[in-house]
Amino acid sequence: MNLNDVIQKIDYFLNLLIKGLSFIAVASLVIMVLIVVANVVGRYLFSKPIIGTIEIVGLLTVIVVFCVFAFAESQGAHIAVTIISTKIYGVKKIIITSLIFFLGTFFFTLMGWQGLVLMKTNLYPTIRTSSILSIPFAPFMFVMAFGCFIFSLELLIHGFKTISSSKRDSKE
Amino acid sequence: MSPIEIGIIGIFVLFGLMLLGMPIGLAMGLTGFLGIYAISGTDAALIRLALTAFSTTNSYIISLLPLFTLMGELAFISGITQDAYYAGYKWIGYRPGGLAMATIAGCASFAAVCGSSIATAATMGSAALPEMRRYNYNPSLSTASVAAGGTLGILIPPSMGFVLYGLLTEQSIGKLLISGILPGILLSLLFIIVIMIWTKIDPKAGPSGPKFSWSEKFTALKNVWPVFLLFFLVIGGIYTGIFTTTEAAAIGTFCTFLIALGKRKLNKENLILSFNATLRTTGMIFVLIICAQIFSYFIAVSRVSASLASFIIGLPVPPIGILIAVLILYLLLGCVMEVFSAMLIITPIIYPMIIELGFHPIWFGVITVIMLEMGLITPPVGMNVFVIAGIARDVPMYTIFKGIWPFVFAMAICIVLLILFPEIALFLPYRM
Repeated sequence: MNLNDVIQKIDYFLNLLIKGLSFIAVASLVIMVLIVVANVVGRYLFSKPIIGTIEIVGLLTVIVVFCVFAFAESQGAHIAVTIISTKIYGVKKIIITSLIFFLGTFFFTLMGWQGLVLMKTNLYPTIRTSSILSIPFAPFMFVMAFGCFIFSLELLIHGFKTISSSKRDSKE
Repeated sequence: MSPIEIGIIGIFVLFGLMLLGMPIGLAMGLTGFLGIYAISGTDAALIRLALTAFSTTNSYIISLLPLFTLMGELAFISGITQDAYYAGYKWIGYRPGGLAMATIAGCASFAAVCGSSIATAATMGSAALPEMRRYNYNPSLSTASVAAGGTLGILIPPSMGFVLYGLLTEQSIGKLLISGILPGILLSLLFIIVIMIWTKIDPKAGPSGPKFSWSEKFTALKNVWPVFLLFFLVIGGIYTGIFTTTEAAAIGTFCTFLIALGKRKLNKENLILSFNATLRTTGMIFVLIICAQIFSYFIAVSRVSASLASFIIGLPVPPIGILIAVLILYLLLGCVMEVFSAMLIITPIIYPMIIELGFHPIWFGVITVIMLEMGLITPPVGMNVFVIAGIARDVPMYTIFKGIWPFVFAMAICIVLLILFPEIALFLPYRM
């Protein structure tokens, strides 16, 4: 099995994972809308707002955001200034593009790793929770770290794909 | 090396990385991280990454970004905004340039339910351009009016531009949204005046469209109610204090969903399309926001913005001269990069200076958003123009950019009016 096959296999599973994460993001978004609407209706029609709506919505936003980082990358949504980069060709272009992907991998891996460190500090010595509903923060920090790692992996795959496609082009 | 020197080097590194083609969010995050590392050490830089990412997203206020995005996408699939365009078409389409004026009115209506300029331009482009082509409109006028009208998306609330500005400057997002209403109406009118003058000078540029009977005109108005309902519900709710901005966004999203359901536009394919677009935008914008927060922290600890503020304030230049210089900087940045990125990069650097100079933060938010609007249609990176060029494939980009300048001039007049009469922006927010 050569590097290309390994990349393709990882890419396949990664796409499934990204799809799964985007389903979780959509579900969280829908729950967010319903909770806020129910809170407003409850407050004005029944004088019974949903306690802790602000906390729930904030934590749901964490899920929505970190579940879609990799999805946005897979769709090519992250924006760049291309005025100069479009005028660079050949080996220089491949080196710069793949280096950008690898730097992205490095940066978001660091963010994910620090997410885990933050999670640990929120579990020991005491479990830190939200003030009203006492929801522990740690699981949401884990989602943050996981989302960053998947995003890093997607960037890494894109970096390798840039190199392997250039090799294929040069062989042809 | 002093923190200020590191800060200045950091700004140059940021622009260098962006010019090499690094995604703007990553460039800001990486520069910010390395800058904090250089000033405060490894531990401070590392923990800043996770703390910023979590504290930025674990927020009730910021949740309105995906909610407003979803609302705009649902409004798009429900077709309510195209109905608003067709109503305008039947009322003023018979006048010279009337179809282009109806396009501006349609864009303003779409802007009232969607916070994205690109979505506004894309939606109106696909509805209005074929009609204007049918009546032999000058391609410059037709494409430029859609591209310029599309920019109203980030000025008339709900507006992504105001939400981001509010997050960066810790100003009330509700007040910022409300402050965009009157300038949005003013700019729409200025765009319509541009079209009137254009067709007066060159009547062939915008031939008259068909004339409709009164009954047809009033029938068309029946389809416009969802736009008004959503606008009054969302913006009226914020203005009267019935809803918070996040609640207004959720209620607006829920009602748009019900309207799309009532209009039988909610099939599986449309739902997937709108959710996909929402997730794509959310992912893109939050990478930018988190990384911009890391970069802002770096700028703050390097004291570059504070030093810049005290240096510029000490110059023998009146505040208005400095404001004009800042506006030119915004225009230049908006020309070469995506406008929200320009805002996220520049605002943390210049905002403290603007406040020191005595300018009102809400008023400056409106000015900033209008400058970003200019950036959306000015070459070489005019995102709205690119969108319109994608729809009107037979119209060269040059032709579209050629038609843009009268509208850019109208925006400049709008800015001058706002400088002369700040109440245009501040009247409504201070009656909340």
